[in-house]
Amino acid sequence: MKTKRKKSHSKGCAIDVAGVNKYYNRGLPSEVHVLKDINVCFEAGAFISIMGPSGSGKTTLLDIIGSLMKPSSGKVFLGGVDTSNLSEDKLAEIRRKTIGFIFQQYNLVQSFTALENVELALRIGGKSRGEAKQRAAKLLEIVGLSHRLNNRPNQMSGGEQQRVAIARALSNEPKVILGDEPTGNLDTKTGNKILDLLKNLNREERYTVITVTHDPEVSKIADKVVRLRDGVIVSGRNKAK
Amino acid sequence: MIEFAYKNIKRQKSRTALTVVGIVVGITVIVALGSFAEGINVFFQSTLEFSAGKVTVQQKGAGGFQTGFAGSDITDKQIATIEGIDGVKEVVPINFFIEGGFGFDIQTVVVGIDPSNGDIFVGESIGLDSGRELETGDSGYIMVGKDFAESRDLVTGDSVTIKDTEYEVIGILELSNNANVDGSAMITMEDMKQLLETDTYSLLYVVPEDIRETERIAEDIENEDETLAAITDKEFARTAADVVNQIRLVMFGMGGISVVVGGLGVLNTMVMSVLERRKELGVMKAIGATRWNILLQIITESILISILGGIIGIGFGSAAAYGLVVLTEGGIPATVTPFLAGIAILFSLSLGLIGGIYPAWQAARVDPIEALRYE
Repeated sequence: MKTKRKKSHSKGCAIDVAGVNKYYNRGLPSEVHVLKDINVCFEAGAFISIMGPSGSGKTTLLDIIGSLMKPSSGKVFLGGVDTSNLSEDKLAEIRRKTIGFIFQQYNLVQSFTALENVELALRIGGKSRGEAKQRAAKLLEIVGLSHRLNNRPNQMSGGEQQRVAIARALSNEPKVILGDEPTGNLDTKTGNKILDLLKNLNREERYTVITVTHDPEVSKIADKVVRLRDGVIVSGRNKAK
Repeated sequence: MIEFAYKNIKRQKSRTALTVVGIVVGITVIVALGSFAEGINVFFQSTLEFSAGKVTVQQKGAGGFQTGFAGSDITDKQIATIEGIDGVKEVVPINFFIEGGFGFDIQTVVVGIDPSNGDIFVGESIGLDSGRELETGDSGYIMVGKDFAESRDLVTGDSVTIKDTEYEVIGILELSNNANVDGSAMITMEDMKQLLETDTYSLLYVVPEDIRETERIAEDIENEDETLAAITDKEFARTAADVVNQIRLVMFGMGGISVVVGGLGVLNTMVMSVLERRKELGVMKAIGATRWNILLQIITESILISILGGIIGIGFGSAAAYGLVVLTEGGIPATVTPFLAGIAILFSLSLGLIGGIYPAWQAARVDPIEALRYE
């Protein structure tokens, strides 16, 4: 059951995915059709989780909506801008200005302190040295790490490292926070705290949060759960508030 | 983002240090040899000024006062022959004695002159710092150049022992900036003949009546006596230029090789660094770094390494130049000119650029998805 939507972006969507297909190894015997005619609106200001079994295409979908990957066909509108035909550097600019990434493995620079990890993102975003330092400290305070500014990742717990990653994701004032299994490496208690933080950022600061997850806790607090199976959205309903 | 470049090269301290050492070696070679070439050049220039308009005569294959002396014995009879050549105003014989000068040993150069025309050797405009000039019949007295006196802490009235014979310092010349004069001591020709136990001369200066005839007289001397080599300042300038050019060639050859090796070191280090940091580079791209940002970051790091090596190399090269000056008693005034330092910085800069461009390009091409997920 495929529902064709009009291939233009809908108002109110932070990210609008319209008729997206993604193939790997296209034209080869090993061709895989990972995403099949995906149409979904990620509403601005919502907390949305993408769920599905391994191999269902959820990570590929996240890469595409995060402008890390181009769809084979279809369009992706990010804040109203069609990103499916932009150059690599233009996509980098869009990521820098509108998206904050959080990863399962945190992906912090091990030799940098918490402060420096956030500063790096701010410097990439074009902030001056002094401004970057000041803002990085402020962001780490927001995520509850003002006592950890000068600690390196290996001196911090997983939960703390993920908080640094969240501070980094917030550094360039994105509209959307994209999480790739942000609680996947954490125990339940720590994971819940990270979710609380994300939920808080969503509720209080109006960030749109989209996370790929296996964690049923995430879907409990999400406004919308997009379920994928074999590259097809099987349910993408908004939950009643 | 130079602050991060600095942090990044500090991550693998020993690897960075070894890479820097590689560049230091290359730049040191360039600066040391370069300063040597400069020094030789200055040395030749001063010698050249002093031999202007004269013909310097020595035996063929004897080397020379200017280029290292291997012994020459010109007889009174040969002098008479030269005096007979048309246009020769006077022939001034000189004898000299060189001892030491290897390693840190102070080199002793003693020249036997005829005090009545000693200016031929010393230079007309050079006066005295203290004491009086050497005069005819001043047996047992010695007149010394400024550097000769300073390196031995001599004042007028002191005594100097040359080859077991003692001489009293009668006068100290003012600084002439001619290394041949400043580093030498002068005694009368009679004393020198006794000292060397010889009746012959090391070298002759032939002064022409007309300076335009210098070349012709030099040719005549060689035609008259085939055992003699007559060099004019023109020829000498050519020889000097040849020597300096050869040194420069060697410098660029050796420097070039060292620089290539150093550059390969930078290349190796940066390629390794990029490989190790693939994931981190992927994250940087994911959070919005452009290819250009990454390229610039890596090149900044490699240039930082090479400039560091360049600065230390200039330091070591200058020390080597200073060592050369001390070793030769100022005979080769090796100097690190701003031009040479500039060349060294330019070399190290291009080294960092060349060694950094390929890894930077590799880094810029890192696919964030691959780097983040599949490693």
